[in-house]
Amino acid sequence: MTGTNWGLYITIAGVFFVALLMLLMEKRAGLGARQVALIAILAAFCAAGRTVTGVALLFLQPTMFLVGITGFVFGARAGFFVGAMTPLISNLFIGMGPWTPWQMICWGLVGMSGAAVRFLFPRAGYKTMIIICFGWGFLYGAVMDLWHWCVFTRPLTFNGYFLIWAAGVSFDSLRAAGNLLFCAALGRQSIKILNYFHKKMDVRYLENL
Amino acid sequence: MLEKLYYQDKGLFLQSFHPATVLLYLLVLLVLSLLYDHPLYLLCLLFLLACLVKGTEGMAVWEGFLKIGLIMMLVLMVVNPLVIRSGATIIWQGPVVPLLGRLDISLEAIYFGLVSGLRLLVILSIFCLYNLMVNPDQALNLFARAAGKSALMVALATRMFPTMVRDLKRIKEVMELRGVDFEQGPLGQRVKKYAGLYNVLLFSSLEGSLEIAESMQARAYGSGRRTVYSRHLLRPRDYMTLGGSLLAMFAAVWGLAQGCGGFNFYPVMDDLIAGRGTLVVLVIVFCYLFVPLMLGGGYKYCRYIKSKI
Repeated sequence: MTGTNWGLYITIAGVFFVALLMLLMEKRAGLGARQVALIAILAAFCAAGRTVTGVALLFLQPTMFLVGITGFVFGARAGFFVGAMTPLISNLFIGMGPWTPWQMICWGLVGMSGAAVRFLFPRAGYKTMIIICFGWGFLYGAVMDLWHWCVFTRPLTFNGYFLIWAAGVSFDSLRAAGNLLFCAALGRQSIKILNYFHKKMDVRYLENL
Repeated sequence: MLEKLYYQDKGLFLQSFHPATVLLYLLVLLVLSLLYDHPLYLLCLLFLLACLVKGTEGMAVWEGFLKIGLIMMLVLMVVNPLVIRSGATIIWQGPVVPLLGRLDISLEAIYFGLVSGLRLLVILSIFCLYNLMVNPDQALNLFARAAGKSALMVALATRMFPTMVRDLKRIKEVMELRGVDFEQGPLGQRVKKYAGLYNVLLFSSLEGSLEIAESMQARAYGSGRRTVYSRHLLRPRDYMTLGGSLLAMFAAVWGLAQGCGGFNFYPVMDDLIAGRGTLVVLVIVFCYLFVPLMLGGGYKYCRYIKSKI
């Protein structure tokens, strides 16, 4: 067990996984100018939210719920792109690290989960998103702890993971509480605004005009 | 702080490499830091990184990284001995705790915590160096051929990021001039005021995105096949560094296959220097890894080398 270097494998696998996902999504999404601009702006918005408030309010960030809502309104691909780019961009300003690929995967999954909610419960509103975002606050911490555990403890035992998770659980609950509060306060309007732009973006050109 | 990127172009030699070269070099360093368990090798890596950081005039930045690293290192050193039972030299017998079992602290587990803390410092330094050496625009340019739209989105978002922070301040100022006092009132009212600010920012930036899309379309975005070009050439310095890092990687893998650079912690630790082979491989690997620094020295002090690389 001590001989196998899981930290190396999981970090490199994360890099390749996120690169492959982005490439595949890009090839299949057929992004037009409007989609590209909108995704970029939303990612910048989320990254700004993550950086500005992340420093001041510790882990209370008005960001994760917006990524979820983006997936909810614009679909899985837009949600994934906005989610994956949020940590990438904010880390350009607050510092890159080996944790970036796994953060990108986690945030991308947040966006895709929003789309999954829309797919499974077409009538769901912002209240469902509150629950999802609250859950993601903990799930995100658990997945990042998994990375931390693989890289820095050996031999890999469940107890080791449990202790690392326990060391971070207070931060995780802060994050979950932040998601809950922000989604409750801002979720309804955000969905409204994004829906408005979703309609506005959906342009169909008439042939032979 | 958020007005500019983490990376600063200082016109240094170490910043003049092709981005692909730097990425490969740093990747080799990262792989080595994860492959090696030997404390001596990890210490040498840290020394190499310190020299490189000094070469990029990033000592102040590095200090910030080291502070975070030391805190995380402390956590590792506490967690590790508590959960690992494989060490043979027990130095403290603790009570039985539910879920975790008996808390025995062994010398080997403490050492392992120390070494993985060292590895953490090395990894953090590699990324610190990445932030100091690689221009993100150029790194993005590497991926433009394979994933053009993703690269474009990242570039756009990076460009919009400071604008967004500035817009936030501007909108807040406008609202304050209109009589909204963000600091006054009970919490519920304050949240409402901030929610207003958030809505305006979200709405106006999304409006802005439609304008960007129109101007992209006006500049013929998506009207045909994309063309790609690169202005960055691979120079002799890049070839030498690339060669050095590949050779270092081969030497390190060969050394590991011969048992140099590995280190057993459990049940009893190996000797720090097991034989002459350990030192020989160490010197060979680090000779190759020091290539960019040697080139930097030559560039600074020797006019002939400067003209050739």
